[in-house]
Amino acid sequence: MGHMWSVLANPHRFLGFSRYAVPSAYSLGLILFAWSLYQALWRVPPDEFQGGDIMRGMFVHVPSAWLCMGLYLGLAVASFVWFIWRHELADVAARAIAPVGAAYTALCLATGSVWGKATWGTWWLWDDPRIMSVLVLFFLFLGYMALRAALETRQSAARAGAILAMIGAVNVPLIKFSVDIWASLHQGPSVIRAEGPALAAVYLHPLLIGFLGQGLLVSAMVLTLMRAEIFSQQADRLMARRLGGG
Amino acid sequence: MPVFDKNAAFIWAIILLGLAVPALLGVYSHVRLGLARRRLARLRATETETEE
Repeated sequence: MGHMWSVLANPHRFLGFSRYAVPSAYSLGLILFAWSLYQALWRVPPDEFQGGDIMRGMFVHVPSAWLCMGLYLGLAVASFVWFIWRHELADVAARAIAPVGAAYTALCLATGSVWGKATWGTWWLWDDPRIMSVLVLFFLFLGYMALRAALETRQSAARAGAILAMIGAVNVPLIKFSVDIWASLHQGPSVIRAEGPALAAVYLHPLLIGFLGQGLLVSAMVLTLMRAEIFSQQADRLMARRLGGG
Repeated sequence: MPVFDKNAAFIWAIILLGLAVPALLGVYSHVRLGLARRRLARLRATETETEE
């Protein structure tokens, strides 16, 4: 494992690896995501305890919620690695994760809002701790990107962004445990819990496979944005060398 | 197409959002990659011309 990381730490080796990893992740991700949506829409029986047919929205909403938290943790870990070891590829990864994380958090909020209107009769609840903590996550992603864009040099942008990303990681366990700590209209955990999943296998398996599929799609997008960032940095260096007369 | 007893509009809205966001992100990431790659290729080409 350690060898794999040291191999991928080299941008040229990373470009070689990602050249094949991106199409593989897209292909497998699309197959798994399509299968889970087919199960969600045609195969899975409606669960009357979960509001009938509307529970089919779970197969989009729940993976997006897990992914936005996972992406933020990825952003925080990449920021930590850059902050401690000044590993340039970690900063490239952090920059690539931010827009994907913001989009998936927006997806989670939007699909949750639609589901909330159908089940609770309202699009939004300002006093729901789960909704509010996910909204904070959305602003953390946006704040990270805005902060980086506002600073002059790549180094100062990376440093300020890394500090914000690491501090903001406190919000992730808050999202997870918000329904246990405070009163919420959201139901308690039904998959990731000490007693094991409460969901029946007919719902759980398509949900997990859909999550895996969307996770692969997200990985492919992050790797693509990392490739774009590496090419962009190479172009910046060429430009700087030319301007410097070297 | 599947038929739902109730909330069909809400279910389709969630599914469409779930399809649109990854699709748009996929397009966005590839546009960014294409732009970065073309800019680098252009700079490399002009550098080769200058050296010649």
